[in-house]
Amino acid sequence: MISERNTEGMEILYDNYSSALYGVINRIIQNDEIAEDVLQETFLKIWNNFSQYDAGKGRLFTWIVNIARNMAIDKVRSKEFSQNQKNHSLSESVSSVDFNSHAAYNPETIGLKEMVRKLEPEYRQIIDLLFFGGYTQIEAAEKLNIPLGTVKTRSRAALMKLRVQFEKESIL
Amino acid sequence: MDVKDYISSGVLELYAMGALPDSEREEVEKMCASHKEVAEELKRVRAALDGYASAHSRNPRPGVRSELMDKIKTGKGKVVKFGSPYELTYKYLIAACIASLIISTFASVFFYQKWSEAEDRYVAIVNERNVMTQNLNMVKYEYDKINHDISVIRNPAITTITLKAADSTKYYMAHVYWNRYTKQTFIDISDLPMPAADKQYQLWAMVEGQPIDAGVFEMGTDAGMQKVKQVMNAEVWAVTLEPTGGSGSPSMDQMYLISKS
Repeated sequence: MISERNTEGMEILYDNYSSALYGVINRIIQNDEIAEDVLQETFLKIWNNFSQYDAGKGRLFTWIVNIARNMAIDKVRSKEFSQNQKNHSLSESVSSVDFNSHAAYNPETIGLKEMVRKLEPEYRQIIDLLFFGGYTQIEAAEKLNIPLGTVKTRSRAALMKLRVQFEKESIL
Repeated sequence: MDVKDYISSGVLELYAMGALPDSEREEVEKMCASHKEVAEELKRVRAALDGYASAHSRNPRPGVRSELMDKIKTGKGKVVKFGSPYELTYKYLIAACIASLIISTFASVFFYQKWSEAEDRYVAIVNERNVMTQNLNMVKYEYDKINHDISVIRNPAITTITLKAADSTKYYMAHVYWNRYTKQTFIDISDLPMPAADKQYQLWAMVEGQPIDAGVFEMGTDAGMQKVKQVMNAEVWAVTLEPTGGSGSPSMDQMYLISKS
């Protein structure tokens, strides 16, 4: 559909995923205006590179979330961005997500938000650093002042906790 | 490594979150390809992360949708094909810098050659001009001299006296120009042999039978018309060869020219 460069397909994709991508991007960038720009750039990249999506390797959602995530992280690390946002780096604002303000009142995500909110702070922190902060495992270990092995085991534990909850509620 | 240990190590979670270096990433992909359980586990980890991402959902401003669709329809979206737009901008900037460096290098060489040629031509022209200035000055000097000589001859107060060889076998000749008002006297040699280094020709005016010194004069091709001493009134003019500086009285045996009065 989209691979044929059908703009209607793009509209459907936007309607289905824009709030999830905007949420991820805004979580990383923490600035509505820049996040909107990156959201547009992300969809343009998806539009231009759709042929690279391999359905055999994973879900479409995983693929586009990673594109959005990478573009937002690149943006945060760009010189232009760091000049404008000196007092607002992600590492400082990690684990300070407000799930209530500006939230998308989408019934499908209300349960998810509730579960993420219940997640232990140290679990949220490790996922936020690695997944949204773009930290490598070594950088995360230094940042949190924990051994490299602990980064691995804590990541595993955090995602296991999420999975158990998600699977129990059969949300996924 | 045991597959169960591998799964529980946390490496798949790090892989899904993009926190692994390239070398370890490849290893995970190999493990997924060779072990179905690993691939299944990764799928579930990813699903959990997708859920985590979705939990942050926020609706973008409604206007963003139409802005984006406009960009896609007008084809503007194609610009961001590879990398971030800033990366692309830098690439273009660097390419532009290199291109302008190459162009300016070639331009420098080209203009240096042009400049060298122009410099050479300029030096040649300056030299030519100097030669021409010298020639002009020479011509001007000669013109002034000749003009002066002619003005002397043309003066109606001038009397021209022709002097011829005292020895009739020779063809020596000179002219004396005498102004009867100012008494100024000039001599113009047409033909006389060059004297020895210690000798000089001297002009004499015979006034009432007495020889009066009218001065010595130079010889040479560019000597031209020469001014000598003022003389009152002469019946006869004569030229004798005397020691350099002239004598008080003429050496009659050394008479070269005489006027027939």
